[in-house]
Amino acid sequence: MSATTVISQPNVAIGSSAAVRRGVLAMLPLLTGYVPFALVIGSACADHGAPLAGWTGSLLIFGGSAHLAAIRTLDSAGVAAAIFSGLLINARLVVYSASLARRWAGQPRWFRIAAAGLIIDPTWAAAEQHADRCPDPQEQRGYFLGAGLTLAAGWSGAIALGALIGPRLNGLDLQIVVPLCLLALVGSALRDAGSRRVIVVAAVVALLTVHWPAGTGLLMAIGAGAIAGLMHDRRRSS
Amino acid sequence: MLAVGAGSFVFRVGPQLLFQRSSLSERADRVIRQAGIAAITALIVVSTKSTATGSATVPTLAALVAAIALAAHGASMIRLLFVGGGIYAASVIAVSLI
Repeated sequence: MSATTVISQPNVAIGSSAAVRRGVLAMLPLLTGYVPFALVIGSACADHGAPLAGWTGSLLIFGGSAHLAAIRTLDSAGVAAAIFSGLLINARLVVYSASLARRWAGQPRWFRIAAAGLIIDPTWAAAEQHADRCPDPQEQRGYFLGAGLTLAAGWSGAIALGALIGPRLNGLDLQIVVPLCLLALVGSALRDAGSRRVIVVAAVVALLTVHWPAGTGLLMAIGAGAIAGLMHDRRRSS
Repeated sequence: MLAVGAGSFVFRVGPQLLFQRSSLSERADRVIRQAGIAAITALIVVSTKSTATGSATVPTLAALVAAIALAAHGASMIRLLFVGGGIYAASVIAVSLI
């Protein structure tokens, strides 16, 4: 079997091993940055008293902010509020998935469903940037699976580690890593005028709505940012 | 966990099935991508707000300002973490000495 083909039928093939390897290598630095965030979540699971139950969210929820919000809201406001806040925060996944749906128009259904489970901020950003450079569907498939599975394995492993050594992390102030990791995903967008406008509007709205109930401010900021982007787009094309 | 996980999976797979037969216009695609950027921006603000409390306010803002400048120049996540984390740690020490 050559290094560049897996199975002869292109819609069944996962992708070339080289494409998978590229996805793995692209995700490893991002994963390293996310490890402290995962340790924070694992520690929160341990503090909650049910680390195994908390850890299951690492792959089921597969979203740090929603996972952390669900754990913390569970203690302060109960099950229903925890579910609601987790879902509201993860509602942004609809946007990511819709964005990738167009990229994946030529992909087989099995991939679209399987890969959907791996859609989250860093895999979305990596897939978007990669698709801009490489339109080949098979390459995109292998790349995304390599990146997504690397993140999934590393993320759940780091959360498990955080749950195990949780109490020893209490003296460390790791919260700062969360905004730093997220900033790396959108930093390049600051160079584009339209995206800069979106970022500024979303940031202002998010700041103004930060005390709104679980995740609603987040949705407002997404909507405001999208409108700002649409207005810039219309002004540019008129 | 199960409930949030199931709902999150619906959010992820729904658009894939919905847009399997219909495609979006270029403009709609751009707006959706910008909505994704807005989502991450909002998460940055929320996470910064929760970190920037009490004596950690100045260190957090200092780290973030430096990180934004680096990110705008295409710095990698590792570099952002090192520089931002370093500035944060140095600022925490400086604030505690004042």
